[in-house]
Amino acid sequence: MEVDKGKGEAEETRKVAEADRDTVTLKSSDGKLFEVSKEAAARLSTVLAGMIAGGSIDDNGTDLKQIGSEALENVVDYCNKHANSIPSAALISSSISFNTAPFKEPEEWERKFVDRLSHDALFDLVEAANFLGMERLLDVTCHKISEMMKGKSPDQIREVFNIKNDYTKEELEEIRQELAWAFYDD
Amino acid sequence: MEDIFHDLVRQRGCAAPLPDEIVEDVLARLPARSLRRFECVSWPWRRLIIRSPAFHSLHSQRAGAAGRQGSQNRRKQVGSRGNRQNRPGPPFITVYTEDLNSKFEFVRFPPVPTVTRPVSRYRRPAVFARQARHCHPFYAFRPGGGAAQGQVFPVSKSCHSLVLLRFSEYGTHYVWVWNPSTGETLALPDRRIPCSNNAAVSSVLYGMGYCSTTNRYKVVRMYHPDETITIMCEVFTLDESAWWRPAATGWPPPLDHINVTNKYLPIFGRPDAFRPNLRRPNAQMYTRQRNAEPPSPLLFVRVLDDPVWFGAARRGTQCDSALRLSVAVCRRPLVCALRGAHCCTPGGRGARHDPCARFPTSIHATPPAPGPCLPQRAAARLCEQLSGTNGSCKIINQSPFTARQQQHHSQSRSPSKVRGHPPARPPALSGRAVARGAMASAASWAWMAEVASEELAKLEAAHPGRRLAPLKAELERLVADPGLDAAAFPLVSPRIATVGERKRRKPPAGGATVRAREEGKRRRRVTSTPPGGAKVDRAEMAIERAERCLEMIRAFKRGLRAAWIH
Repeated sequence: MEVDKGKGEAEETRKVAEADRDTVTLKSSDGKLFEVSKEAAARLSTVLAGMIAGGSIDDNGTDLKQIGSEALENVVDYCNKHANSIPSAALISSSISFNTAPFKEPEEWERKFVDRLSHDALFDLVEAANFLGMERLLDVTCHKISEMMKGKSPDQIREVFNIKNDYTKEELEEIRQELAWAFYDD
Repeated sequence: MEDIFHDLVRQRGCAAPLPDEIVEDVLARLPARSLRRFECVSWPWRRLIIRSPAFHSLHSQRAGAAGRQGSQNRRKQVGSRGNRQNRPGPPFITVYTEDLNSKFEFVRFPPVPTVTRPVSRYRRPAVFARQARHCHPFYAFRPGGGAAQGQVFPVSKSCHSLVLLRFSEYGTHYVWVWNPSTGETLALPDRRIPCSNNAAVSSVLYGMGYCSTTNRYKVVRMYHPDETITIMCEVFTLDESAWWRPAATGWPPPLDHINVTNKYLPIFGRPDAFRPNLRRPNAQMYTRQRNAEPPSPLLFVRVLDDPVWFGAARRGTQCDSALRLSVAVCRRPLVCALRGAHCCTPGGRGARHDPCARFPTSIHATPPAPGPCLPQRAAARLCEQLSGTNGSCKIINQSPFTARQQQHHSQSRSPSKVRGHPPARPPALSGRAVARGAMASAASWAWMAEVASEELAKLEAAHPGRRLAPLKAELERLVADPGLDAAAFPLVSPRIATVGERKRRKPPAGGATVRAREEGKRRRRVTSTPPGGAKVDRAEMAIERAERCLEMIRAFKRGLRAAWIH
């Protein structure tokens, strides 16, 4: 009986210790490790929340093969900053349902956070946010990209997104005529 | 979507494509103008932007949210500066007339504060001053020369991101659908209104609505083709119609289907809701409409041939009569439409000189009341306003329907007044209206169904158990289809019956019915003293009354048919 009890206690303490560990270790595609607070991760990312709840978090670093180290660093950075800033209740609720909740303007620190990123880093971050199910980060980054696109010409867009122009010259001319009004300055 | 996806593969370390939902999400955040410009990027993008309904709804969601925030911010700024008119907006719009030979450009108000325009000496200057201040944000210019005579003004507030514009000048008038967020315009085929006189052309009423169930925009115009009571009501469906077709007959579906969008956007602002194309009528549309079922020659049963919501206004806001009309139309399809139309009967004295009947006096109307529909009481109040008691428009030529409607109102307010009113006659019995056909006869079917259902209910209440087979059957048949034995009337819609039955308003006080009922009441008063015989007596009375009602309906039908044939 006593042994059993002792075992149970040991188990319990281990569990407590596990629960006490308030960080999650994440491993990028190229093997770098990042630590992020469990609470922030669970709150900001639906995927990580699911993993934490399901117990599939690896102490030695949860493998996130789809995310490069640079993007993961940004993600962790974002999580930490978010934990530091006081998240309003509205912010959290707005990040719950993707595509349907009204979009809230990015806050000042979020704006600064995405502003310093290069194109490639931003695109990587969007993908990482999408992969991890971080709705708010996705919102902010998509907003940033759309702001970058505003006022650009189609040629510039093609360059940034690396899209091949599959129009013939005549087609393009036709569309441009049809949409002449759209080419005035915004 | 698949292709967009592959288009977005980038030259980077990990060449994973951006997921399609991200591309969509990003694009949905762009303003309409940029979005249209990016159609030029590639075919897949163009396909997405133009054709994907899911994308459109996503965009309008986003634009709605952003627009609201934006306009709030803007209002703050504007308030601090104290200048309403410096709001950002499209710098100018270019509008082509129907024949594409002449082109107008519209300049916003601030650049041309003092534009010369002909002031009619028949109009009061006070009204003009008010208009000048509030409601002409655009002035028409012909590119070659100076200001065109006349003004362009919005007929409606933004209706699901589109605005109806109208330009009138003596003798000509144009109507455009304008998308303020993109600047696109579409001229409606509106030069040829078969009016007998030119003056009537300028008093055509317009309204635009958006049907959220079918995702269609409809423009409705109402006018008098000649100097008579007849009202033409025609509908132009954007992207479908090639020309105006008469409004379909039948009763509108129940009002539950009407979805009110509360995304009314200020005309001065910069609404970013996005509607991809204003398609000009093309040959295909012409053939399609030509091959379609010929619309009924009878007109005007239903102004809205789909659940369409026409504009919105709150009590106290001033708006043009078309808008008023539209609001009223929604609530009481037939009656109010008549009222609205009467507001600007071309022959009518008061209306002709009343600019309110034609011009918007204010487009700064407050946003519409939220909720699924205009509340009934507000609608009733509006009806009262329309009927000319305190509104600026007066009804010159009251139709039997309006009379009935008014009586209905007063009835519901104070029953004691009922006797003071002359009993209104059933609509079609008022001679001329019958001869004019359409609206009267259609209306009278509704009236008949209403009376019949009323009687049936009374009969049912009086004799819950008894079988009065032939009588009941006939009444029921009338309710189900008032025009069953009158094959000559193509107007009849079975839906009328359900409406009539469901509504079960107060009795419409049709001549004979009223008399019968009052007779009945009197007799009941007399006979109610002996308690034993009362029940039987009342039963007999009900039957008698029902029979009389039926007889009346029959006579009424005969009269109608005769009028129809001649």
